Amino acid sequence: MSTGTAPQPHAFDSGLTIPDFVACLSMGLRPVGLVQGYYCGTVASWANYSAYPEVNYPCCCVDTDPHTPGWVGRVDQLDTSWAEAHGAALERMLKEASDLGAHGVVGVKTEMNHPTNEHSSEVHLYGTAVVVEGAEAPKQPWSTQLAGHKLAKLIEAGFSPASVIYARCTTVLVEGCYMEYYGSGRSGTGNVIKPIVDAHQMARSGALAAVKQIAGQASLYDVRLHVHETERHRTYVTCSLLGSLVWRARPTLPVPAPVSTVSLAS
Amino acid sequence: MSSATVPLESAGHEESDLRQLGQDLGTDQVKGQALPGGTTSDLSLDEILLLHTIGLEPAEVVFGVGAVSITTGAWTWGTGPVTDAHAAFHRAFDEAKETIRHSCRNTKAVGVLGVDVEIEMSYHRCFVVVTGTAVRPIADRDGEHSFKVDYHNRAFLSDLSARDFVVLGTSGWYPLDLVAGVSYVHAPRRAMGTAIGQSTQNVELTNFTETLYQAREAAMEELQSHITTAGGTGLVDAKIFDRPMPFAHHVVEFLTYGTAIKMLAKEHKHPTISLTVPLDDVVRTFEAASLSGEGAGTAEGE
Repeated sequence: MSTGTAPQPHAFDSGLTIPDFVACLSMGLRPVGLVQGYYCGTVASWANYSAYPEVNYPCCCVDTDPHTPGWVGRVDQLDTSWAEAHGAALERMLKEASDLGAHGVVGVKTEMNHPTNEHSSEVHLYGTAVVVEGAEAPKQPWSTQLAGHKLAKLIEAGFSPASVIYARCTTVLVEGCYMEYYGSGRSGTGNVIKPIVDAHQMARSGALAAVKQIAGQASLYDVRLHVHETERHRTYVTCSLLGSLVWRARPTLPVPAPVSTVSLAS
Repeated sequence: MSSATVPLESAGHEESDLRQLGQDLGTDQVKGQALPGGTTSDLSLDEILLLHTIGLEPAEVVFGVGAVSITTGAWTWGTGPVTDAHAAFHRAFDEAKETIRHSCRNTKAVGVLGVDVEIEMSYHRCFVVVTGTAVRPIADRDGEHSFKVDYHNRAFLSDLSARDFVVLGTSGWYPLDLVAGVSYVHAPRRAMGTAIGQSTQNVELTNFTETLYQAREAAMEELQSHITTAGGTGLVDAKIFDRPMPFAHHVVEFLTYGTAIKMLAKEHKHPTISLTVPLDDVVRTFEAASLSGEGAGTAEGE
């Protein structure tokens, strides 16, 4: 499939703010183009139902109603679909940067949504490709959400940008008689509702584990963690992590104590 | 000067420094030289650098979840406090705190900073989630730690930002625990005649005002008690929420939480503060109305 190529402009374009643009020039980073990566796809209609029980909850019926088992599990297919979509969009953005001879992409922004319905996915990444003046073109450009002085501080603090990253984990909670008893107040006050706790813990732990799997020994800073719960016959808890992976290039240097200031502006 | 030895100047970068830093991005020197210790953190880069100034670094994003049941009928109209809701809140809050402390211990951290507290009280359950970044001391080449505060293996929890934590620490104070006081109280019914009579007047609903005071006194008293239990001598950055419960308007909730602190230095140390005057004044902009002579150019924000 053709994913297009970034136009080869005579004049550069960039998504940098003025302070970031000025700082990048001072750092010897020359903007060469606004590079973008898109991915539109479908999420398999059965993905929501591909989960299997990882934690089961025992029957605790106190009446004669037929019971249904409750459980919590991960919806791997859903998460894999979005992770692949993000990975493809990132790869396409970096390809455009590479074609421009860039060393990296700064100020990367990520947009993700459902363009038509919940079974469709769209990922859009864009940032400003920069060339380091006087350096040879690299094999693979790096990417970061940072730009300008924030990027300078990152390097000064002993880190180096690696890549923007996205990871998520979705868990599903299937209510059974356990939830009906413990989650509806019939059990009285003060009982821990384990399925809810497990669904939330598992979503958060799963997203962090996914990041670690991708990151290896790199670190993920300034991470945006977003958790939301949806009801579609079952309860789905999704934890998404978005941030910039950085390498620790050297041990932490002693940093001088900051100077406290009070601004006299109104 | 090699960028590896460039100190972090709080006064800002010189242009030559920036250019040297930028050059580092054009080499492959950093790739493949990653040191052990991959971490995750929801702190900003500024906050991480601030933590470095006092010898701490982020270790891991940690969290704790607590969900506790509330018995059927707990919210039906009555009098006095709703004890079931109160008990459920504290059970859920304690469960969440215990879980986040357990995760914190696993990362060998001394505490958790910037804790985000999410509380959802519904008819049948109380749900609490606490999320933050565990921080640990940085060891120098000799294995020594410059962060000397001994928490006796009980991780501190604080909803303070890294900036507030650093300022607090340099003043001689340290956070101990996230503590909360909460109270749910039934507002007494008005007599039918009183309700009808008041519907045509501008009068204070004394039953609600008195209930709010009652809830507030109970919650603040409980907060004081928990500060002391945590070993603190005070509390900073208290958050206060009061409202009628959305699903039971006759019940008033008063919730307050914050970080219990204690002075570990011999006396409070007042930081030296420099005064700064920003020179970036608002720009006078062109006002189209001035063409008609009805108005003059005005500055943005006036």
